[in-house]
Amino acid sequence: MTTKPGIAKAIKISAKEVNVFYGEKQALNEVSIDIEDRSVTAFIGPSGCGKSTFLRCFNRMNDVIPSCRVEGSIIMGDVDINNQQVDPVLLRARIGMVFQKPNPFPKTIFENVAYGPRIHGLAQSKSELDDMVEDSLKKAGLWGEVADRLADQATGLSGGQQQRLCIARAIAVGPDVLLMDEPCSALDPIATSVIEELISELQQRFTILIVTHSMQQAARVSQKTAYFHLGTLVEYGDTKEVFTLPKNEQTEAYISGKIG
Amino acid sequence: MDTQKHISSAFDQDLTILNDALQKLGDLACRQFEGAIEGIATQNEANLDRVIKGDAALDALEAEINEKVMEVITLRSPRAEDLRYVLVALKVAGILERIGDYARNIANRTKVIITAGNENIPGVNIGRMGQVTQDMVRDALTSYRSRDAEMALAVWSRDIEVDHMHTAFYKEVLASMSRNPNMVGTGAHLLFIAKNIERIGDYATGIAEQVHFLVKGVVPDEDRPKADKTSKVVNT
Repeated sequence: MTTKPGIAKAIKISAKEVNVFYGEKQALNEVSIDIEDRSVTAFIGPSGCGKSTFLRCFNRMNDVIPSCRVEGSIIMGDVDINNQQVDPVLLRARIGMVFQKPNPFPKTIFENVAYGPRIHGLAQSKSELDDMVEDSLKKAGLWGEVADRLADQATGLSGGQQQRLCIARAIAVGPDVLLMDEPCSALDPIATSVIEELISELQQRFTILIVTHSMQQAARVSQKTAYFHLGTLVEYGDTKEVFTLPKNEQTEAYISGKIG
Repeated sequence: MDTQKHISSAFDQDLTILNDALQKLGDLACRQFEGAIEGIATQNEANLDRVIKGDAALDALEAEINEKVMEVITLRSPRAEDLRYVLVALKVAGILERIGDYARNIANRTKVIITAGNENIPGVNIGRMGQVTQDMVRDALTSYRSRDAEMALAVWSRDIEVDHMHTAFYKEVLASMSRNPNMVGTGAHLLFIAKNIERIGDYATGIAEQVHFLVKGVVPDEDRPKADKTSKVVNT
């Protein structure tokens, strides 16, 4: 297979020699990777390979684990986000996260989305906040389904709607990057397709990193794929290449479901 | 096939079934083609009838392979070499079925030539051309069985030999037709037979390209050497 030469995308985030330790145990080993701007990058690999640990490095979620230590640098713009002077709360507004299971607040649909802009002081007036909520719900592809029931409890939504609500909540604070940790693993195939379609649309505005156990999903939604094994980045490249002509035998065996 | 097994043993079984069916189709296509070429030399109508009737088995086997490929793609989501393997199986099965069609056509035309009963038919070169093309098909299938990209490339390059022989034979038959108007009908069939053999040579290179793609992930990138000049011949 030949790859047509194209215009290289700008690099949004550059991770250099990242090591992560849980106590004495090293979970990630010298991982370096350049993440392209406004593209979807999938992290794949067997359970325990370090892909979720690595994803959590991008918004310092590992800070909340007392035994966890992160080394190396993750540069976004001209700032190393591992620098202790970087405020993790502000960082997480710029790098939002969507988790495996939808986790809406036990509040109304409106309040779930309005919460972020309110605590970050992003809206100057009620009407501005209303606009932000509407805009975020539209970007998350949920507005049409909830516009007439914003005052309903978010927990009354279906699983797929709740996950899109969580995406709207992350979008509402104006991030550049979205981290998604197996965002469809708790959803049925239809809800999964809706989220995947949404990811393709969001990619126009955001840089998206997604951890997934579904290789079909990685192949469907991402432009770049990184394969991890035992805490090491084994292969990183164009998704089309990784899934059709991987360079590494370990990658080939994993994506083909082979042993021996 | 590589030595690693899939975690899903059913996937391995599917690929084995596919592989066996393709080998069988390859053997049948070779036998049909050899029978047709032998039929030209021996003019044995019973053997030619066997080739004509035998074609249905190839059609059935190709349909079986197509169905299995669809099943594997749908149920197993093959990737990387597995994906290339099933795509190549699909393409090679189509090529082998077409070789079978050409063999049947050669047998049909040979029967007509036998009925016409012309003497001094120019036939030596067609036998040699058939022999070289048979070797190409057989070697292409061997390269597939052994996953040998180098051997496949050698087959791919050898087609020029068949092209030269085809051009020479074409001129020889045209000359014979212009000398003897009674030869026109037989000569026309001979030209088609020769063209069929030349096309089978092209198909052998098609199999070779697929083997190269299967092993290396890319088809050969240089232009294949060609020398069939028959489309430019006006008279002899």
